[in-house]
Amino acid sequence: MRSNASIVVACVALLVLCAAIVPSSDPVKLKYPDSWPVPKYNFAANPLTAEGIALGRKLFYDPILSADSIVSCSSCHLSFTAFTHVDHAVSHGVGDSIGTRNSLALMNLAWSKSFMWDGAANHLDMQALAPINHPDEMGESTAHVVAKLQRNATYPFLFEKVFGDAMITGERLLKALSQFELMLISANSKYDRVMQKTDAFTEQEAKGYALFKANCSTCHQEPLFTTGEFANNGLPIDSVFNDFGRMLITNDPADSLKFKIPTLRNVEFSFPYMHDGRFKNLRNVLDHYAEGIQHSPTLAPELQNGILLTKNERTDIVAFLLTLSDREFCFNPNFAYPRE
Amino acid sequence: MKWFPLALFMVLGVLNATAQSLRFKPVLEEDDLQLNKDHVLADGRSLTIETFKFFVGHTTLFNSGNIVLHDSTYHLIDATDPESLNVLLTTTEKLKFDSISFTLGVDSITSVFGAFGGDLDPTNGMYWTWNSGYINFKMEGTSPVCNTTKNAFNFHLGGYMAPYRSAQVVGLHVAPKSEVTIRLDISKFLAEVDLAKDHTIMSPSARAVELTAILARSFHIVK
Repeated sequence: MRSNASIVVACVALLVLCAAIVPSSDPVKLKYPDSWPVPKYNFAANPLTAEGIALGRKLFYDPILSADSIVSCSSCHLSFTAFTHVDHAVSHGVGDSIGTRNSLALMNLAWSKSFMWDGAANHLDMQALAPINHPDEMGESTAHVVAKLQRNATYPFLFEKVFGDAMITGERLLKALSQFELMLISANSKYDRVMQKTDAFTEQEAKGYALFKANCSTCHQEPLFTTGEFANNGLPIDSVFNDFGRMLITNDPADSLKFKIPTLRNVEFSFPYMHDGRFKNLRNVLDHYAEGIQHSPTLAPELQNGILLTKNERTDIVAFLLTLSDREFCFNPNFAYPRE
Repeated sequence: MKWFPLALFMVLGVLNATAQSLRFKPVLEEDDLQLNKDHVLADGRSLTIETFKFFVGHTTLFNSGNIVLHDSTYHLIDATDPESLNVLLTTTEKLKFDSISFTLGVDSITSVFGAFGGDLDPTNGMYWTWNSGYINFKMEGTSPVCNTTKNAFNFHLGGYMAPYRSAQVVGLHVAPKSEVTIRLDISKFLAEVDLAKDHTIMSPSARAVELTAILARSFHIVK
């Protein structure tokens, strides 16, 4: 018993010592609507601080993460377009190499269970490893990025402010990036204001919302407008990419042609649509669900008969979808390129 | 945080801690593994191993079936770093134990927890970037029997999701000593692998699970 007691005393002493040597930084609490579910991200393992968020933001916009020092995270995730790469069906990276998928819009990531179109990343912290190391994206190695940051004139100082010493590691790089990305919360669209009863839908938007709830919301569930699951939404397979989606990760034929159900928030800005960017506008997307569903063994049960929508109803749904645009989010100066 | 090791040392010093050492010793038949050196197996196949790394975690010492020490951390064993082969478990007293267990690889809970530093840092070349998950065991090298580019073989064994969970629990009986040496006989693994056909695994799969299970059976206590 005596040795147990001395262990407790020693542990307390150690904790006090640790608390004394970790520099104080400004804790930040994530702000989001009360009606939203509890975030999935474990903030206890990566507590948000003003310094951590600022470091993550600098890293997000810094092409030092890429092999040619040209490509940064923001090359494919532009703040003004809801953090995605518009006008490109699939995204491109170092040396103008072209990838196989359309970059996803980044928002409300604290609620995501998995990341990327096929759920390849199981945690927000681990997601950045994919683009950094992909030869068609940033073409780097994580260890080399860490070495470049360590040699840099500014970064060791910034990491010290966040983590207590100037040592840069893969873990710290990833956690800092997560801190900035976690701040990207879009919750101030017209839809949100209507839900808070401070604004009202037009007649057409209201009709569109009713149609949306009846036909789309099983997968695009409010308030995040996704369940975070994977589904085969009946797209004919592209014979160039031959992309089987989630099955490439799980090796399970039941996951063939399934892709992440994306959020529809800010969908106005995140064109083109689908994992390969095959649809240029929202009208094309609704036409697909109404007329273009291709049957295959893994097709979502909700889409077995397509979605019966008249042309006018499709127009109404598009009108509703435009109420999910959050201009304050897209033009938030705290999310834009950090000018020093 | 740079004071952390020092602080730990001071506190443990107060407690008069002793260390229980588990020394891992990768061998090919009777020879110690030497990287980048050609080795001819008893069956006549020759090979050169260039990379040899694996994770050991949840090391537990038992006495008559009761846990006497559990270390929940992970250690990266890397043949290029002799110090890494010696896993030190800190204890406050001299322990009596008759068996040990550890996981070969990283468990599912740790695999979905996010970023870690130290031995689990993703810069150690033991984390997949295209598909989240640790590489539990990595062996790279060349053999003339491999009909591949530059005769290379690459065993990157990992996977944390059902049905391809590859981490394995290894249990071994042991006579208590302050230093326990655990031999990993790579030739036992190679005896069950036809390098001519089975030379490249770099993603989670049923075969990765099978091969990790073979490795788990290739650990032995040096008497």
